[in-house]
Amino acid sequence: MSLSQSYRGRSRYRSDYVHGLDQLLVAVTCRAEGSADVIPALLDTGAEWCVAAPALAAAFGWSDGERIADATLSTRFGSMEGYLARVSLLLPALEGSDVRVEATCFIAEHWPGPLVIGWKGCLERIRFALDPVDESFYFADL
Amino acid sequence: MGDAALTTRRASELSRSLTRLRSMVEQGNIEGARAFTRDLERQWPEDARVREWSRVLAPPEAESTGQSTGRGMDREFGWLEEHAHEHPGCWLAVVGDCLVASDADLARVRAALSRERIEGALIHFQPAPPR
Repeated sequence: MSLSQSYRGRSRYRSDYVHGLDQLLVAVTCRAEGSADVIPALLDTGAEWCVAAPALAAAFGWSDGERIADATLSTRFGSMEGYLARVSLLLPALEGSDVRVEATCFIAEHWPGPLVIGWKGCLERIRFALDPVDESFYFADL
Repeated sequence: MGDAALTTRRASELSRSLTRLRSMVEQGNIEGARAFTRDLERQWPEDARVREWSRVLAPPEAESTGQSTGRGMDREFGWLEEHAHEHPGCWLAVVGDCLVASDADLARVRAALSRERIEGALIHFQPAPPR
């Protein structure tokens, strides 16, 4: 049995990143495909989906205005209306290789929180690890 | 049964199926929804709604790009810790320890970055405190 795993890239995460009244325990940075802007996101293995505010989705081209996959989902801010959209996210690496993810994100109409990177449609197909020693975030495609 | 009646019945069946699919997603039965979507794709391969549900429920796809484009963001996060609260209700773009754009409208912030040809800014939204 081997307990070693390999990863493609490494970046840093931030602990206790403050977003308004919320404190994000583990925040990683990501980018929208085609944009150089860097977006902090809550890494949340307990979140069913990635979640984004409509302003973020519009600014980064994650939404063409069509709302076919409508849904009302339970979030930590209560039940919210929105829709599921396919988005292209990039995890930029300080070392090694960036990883691009074609993910699914819930665009929640009145989402007051940060971008959330959740399990279904995103983390479920990424190998990742956190090392609190130097706040490293390791990731790899499968 | 005539063609029109058959079409109506098929449309009604599709509508019920999409409602069921949405309900599965809302109840958190994602694997069930994925399996059900595959059935719907076989029955209604041309329907745009079925195709979109299939697209968003598909498992994610990740791939390495072979490039390393990240950079350290310590100065940007440091600036946010000290100053973000001074800009309630605004989207902020920070490069190094400088605020380079801020506005309540993210599109305006991105337009300013584009106009000034600034790349790689850290984008942060500072919520307004509750009243």
